[in-house]
Amino acid sequence: MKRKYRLVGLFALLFMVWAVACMTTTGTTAQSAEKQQFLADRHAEQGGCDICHEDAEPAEGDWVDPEKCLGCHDGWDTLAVATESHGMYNPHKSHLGEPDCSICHKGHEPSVNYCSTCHKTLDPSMK
Amino acid sequence: MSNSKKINRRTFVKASVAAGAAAVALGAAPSAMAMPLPKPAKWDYEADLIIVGGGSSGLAAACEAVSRGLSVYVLEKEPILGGSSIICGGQMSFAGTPDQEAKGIKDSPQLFTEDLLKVGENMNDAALIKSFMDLNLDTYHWLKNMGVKISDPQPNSGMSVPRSHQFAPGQLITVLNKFATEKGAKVLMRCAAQRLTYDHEAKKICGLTAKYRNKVVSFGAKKGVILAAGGYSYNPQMLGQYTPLMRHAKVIAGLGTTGDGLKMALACGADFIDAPYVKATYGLTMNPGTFVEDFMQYYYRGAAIVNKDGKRVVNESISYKLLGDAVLAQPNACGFQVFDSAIREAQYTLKKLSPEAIKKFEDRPGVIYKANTIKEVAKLAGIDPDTLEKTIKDYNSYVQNGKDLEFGRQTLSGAYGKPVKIEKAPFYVMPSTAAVIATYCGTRVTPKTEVVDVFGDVIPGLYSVGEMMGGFHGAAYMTGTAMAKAVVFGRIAVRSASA
Repeated sequence: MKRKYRLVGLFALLFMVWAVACMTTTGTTAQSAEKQQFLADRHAEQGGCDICHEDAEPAEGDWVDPEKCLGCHDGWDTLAVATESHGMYNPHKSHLGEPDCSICHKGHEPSVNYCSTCHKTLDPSMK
Repeated sequence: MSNSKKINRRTFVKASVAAGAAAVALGAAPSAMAMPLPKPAKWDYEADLIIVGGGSSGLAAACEAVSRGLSVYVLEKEPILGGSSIICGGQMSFAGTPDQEAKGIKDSPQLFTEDLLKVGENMNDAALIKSFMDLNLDTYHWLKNMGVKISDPQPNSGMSVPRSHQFAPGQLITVLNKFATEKGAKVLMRCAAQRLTYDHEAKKICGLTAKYRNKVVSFGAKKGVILAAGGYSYNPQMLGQYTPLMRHAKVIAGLGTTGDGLKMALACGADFIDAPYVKATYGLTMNPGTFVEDFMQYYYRGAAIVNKDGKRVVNESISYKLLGDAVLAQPNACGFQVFDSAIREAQYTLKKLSPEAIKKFEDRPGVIYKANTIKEVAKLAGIDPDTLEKTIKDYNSYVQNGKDLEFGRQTLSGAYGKPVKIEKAPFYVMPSTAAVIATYCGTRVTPKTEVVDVFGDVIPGLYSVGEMMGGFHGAAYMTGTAMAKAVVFGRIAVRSASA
């Protein structure tokens, strides 16, 4: 009996924490705030899914053609300047030349640092 | 039995047979044997040539194909092009180039051939080398005409004259890819070839299946399939099976080099040669990180190479590939480079390393140990201190007397330099191992790159080039020949397939 009350108390406490968390995210729920972090969500806000996926529904395993990205984003040289601080590990001016953008920039999951696949001392997450 | 019923039944049987065949062809049902799949009723994609692998050999083949008006698909498993080529050292060997002439270097296909046979201990296929020489200089001009920057021939491992020309791997791959795609080649990324298909009527390889965008699809090849899929450096099971010593080595190669192409060829009965000659390069830190800063060859400046018992294991002046063999046989596949501050200085001067770069390299945990005596540095590195002290004392006496009583070291490196004493404190130890950068072996081929089966017969419609082609290097490898071989034989395969 006593254990049951303790559980109820724990749930009540968890609910309070959750409620406070919701209030502090000013209008949005914590869950959708997390979703906003992905590249696709930021792009969708500016022009819907079509901004990347011209032909409506993409099939599973599809990726966006780099030409599509470069249609809006400036060319490789400009991108290289933006990431100049990486020095010899500048991802936009590397020994891989001009790889698919999507090897690092993921639409619906956290982006990654593809360089770290081989260069193990580099941070695998993208900051 | 009514007529309509007959037809219905026949149609039903036909349909189910077709469905079964399609299921097999698309890999939905596992095939019972490692054999080529039957030709499907209809191809998802079709071209004159299907090339497996988007490295330098596959892309060179694609360029040659489009120049001859052939349609072509290049299937690349990885999300980036270039395979092992794009991370290579950037050396390609050519004989008789204007770059050599400008430097007064006299070279010829004959001299190049002699060097290759000498390095390869005559285990190379002379007919294959002849085929290579016929197109070697032509390929230099062919690449230059496309816009590939090639220059500055250097003397390197195994050559009697400076012959390994410098190029930037990223630029090479970009140029080849642009040339091929602008002329109509279809380069498909993240498209992993799986099984070859065999036309039982025409009795030849007629295509393959591949996993593309999460689906298994079929590719028909009207003129042939060119396997340019690289080696198996990143397949530990195959490494252990075919070259057991290499199981203990680290790997620095294209991520896609898992032996896929080789397996496809083996499943058709291809003969597989030269695996015992695969070697690894010595001088890599035991704890590699970025790779660019992981290699250091203090041994060619005078360091001794010892095992954890503190005993020397080899004549340190021999080829870094043979040092690899010696070190991989040691406990933990580790050979400790032992050197003093003078040798350290000489190495960094030669490598033109900035103080920042040196600090970055040496400050990484476990890369370098430093102390004021040999005994102390041995303790730090986990080497038997008393034995190491005696080993270095003996080694210094050999240097003094000009005679290495244990391993016969007479030079610093190859034919160059006199060994030096290890005597100027502080002393250093770099625990080092060897890395496989390519598997110098593969399918047996004719001089036209046609794959030959275990009975010595050509497998019609199947060609193999680049790293996965055996017979060229022989027992050992000359710098800059893996890349030249890749490009030259990529072109030869297209010429053979379209002849």
